[in-house]
Amino acid sequence: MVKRMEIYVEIIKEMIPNRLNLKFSFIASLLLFLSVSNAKAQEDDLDLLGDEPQTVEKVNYAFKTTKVINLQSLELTDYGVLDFKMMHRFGAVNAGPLEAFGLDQASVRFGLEYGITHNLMISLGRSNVHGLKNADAFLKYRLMHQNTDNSRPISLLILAGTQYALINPETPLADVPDANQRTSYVFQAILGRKFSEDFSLQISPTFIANAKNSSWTIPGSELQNLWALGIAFRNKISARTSLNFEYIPILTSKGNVINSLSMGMDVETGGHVFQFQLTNSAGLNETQFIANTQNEWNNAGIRLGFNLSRVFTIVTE
Amino acid sequence: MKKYTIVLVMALIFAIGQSFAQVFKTSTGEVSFISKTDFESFEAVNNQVTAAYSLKKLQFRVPINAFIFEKKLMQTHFQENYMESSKFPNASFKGSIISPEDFKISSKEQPVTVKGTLNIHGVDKESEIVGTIQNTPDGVVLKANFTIILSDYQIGVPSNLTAKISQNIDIKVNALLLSK
Repeated sequence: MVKRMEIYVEIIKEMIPNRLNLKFSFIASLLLFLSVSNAKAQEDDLDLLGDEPQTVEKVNYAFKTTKVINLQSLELTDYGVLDFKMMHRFGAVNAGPLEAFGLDQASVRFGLEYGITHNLMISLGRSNVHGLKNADAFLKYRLMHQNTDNSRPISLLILAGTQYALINPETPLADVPDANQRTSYVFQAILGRKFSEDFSLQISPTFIANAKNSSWTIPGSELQNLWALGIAFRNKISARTSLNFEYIPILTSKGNVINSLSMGMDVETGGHVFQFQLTNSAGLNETQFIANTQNEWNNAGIRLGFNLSRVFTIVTE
Repeated sequence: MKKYTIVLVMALIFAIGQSFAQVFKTSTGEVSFISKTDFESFEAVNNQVTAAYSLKKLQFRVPINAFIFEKKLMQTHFQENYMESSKFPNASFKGSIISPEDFKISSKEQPVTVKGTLNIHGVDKESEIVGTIQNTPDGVVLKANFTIILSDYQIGVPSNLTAKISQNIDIKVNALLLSK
């Protein structure tokens, strides 16, 4: 740098014919040096791109799929995507050795889910739980989407669903219950927040109007309408796996019904998310697993289960 | 006093000349990539790339979440698992033209070699990229095709997907920069 300075002094001296006083040429060369080196420095770390635009983004991927375990999560099926979902639960472990500790028994729901818009999805499904057959449907809509600047600190979704009990066609007509006695309804709000990359928490206040004589009503239970509060979280244990937990206490009178409690794990493989879980619920939709769970954890009333999903892109943006 | 003025003006012109060289810029540049294996090929396109060119210097900023895939689930996995875009929201490149040494922009499409730092997934890597620069009536056109290796940038592919996701990703850059 000193060398450079000397060179500048020389240049200035050369340029000024009468060799004015040294002080003048020193000041002049200092000026030149400063301006040049300043420009040079600017150029070196010059950020040509300018500042990054400050964009507020929506917080996505609070959960890996639309379900925590049994409960609906904060996620929706993407717009234009058809998701074929299969839920499978074995029988309870306390079914004993003759039933291979539950592995001989199965509850299954096949469902098709579709993202109608970015904020609305529909699901149609059919379930067979220990021989009780039901058709069900629900709509799930996102009212508020958590965003990065926290002007919307949570996501809020609402769900409305129904279940219709299917009856053996050979049942004598006189024994077939009225349609309104075969229909149950569920209304749910889902509030939650993705607190960090790993941790998301949600609560799900739920109202269920349980069909009075539905094949799903537990014998001896007068349970019809109830309120429940689902609590669920997930914690990632790696980029592609997470541990999930959910508990759904019934807040109103519960008769013989047991609160649903489940623990599970999500494993993301290439084309789909594989969920497996331990749960005391055999049921596969809200009416079934919230209002009709009959097994207890502390009585080995737990069962192994898994959810599979396979997505097909129908509409691309 | 006259001499003072001459020197001052000179210094000023010098400074201005250095720091206010013409900058060409865009925020709608295109970067796309293709992964090809025997089993599966897929691609994604990003039209929100910021790029700038000035005095042989080239800079790019590529927002990861702006890559659009045909399959939404792939986009989700790309953002969440592979690129970890909430931690590393942008890929970037900063470099200078090293060849030809006496490069001057012209209306011909000229091949150039650019040396600089390519940052993807938070990992810096010194890279030399070959592309072309052309001054057209519409603006300065930058084009490049090059290949990166995923493992260079610590982007992990699970073992069950190595047959479907290539380690070598072909990247294509095409940007039209306007005088700022």
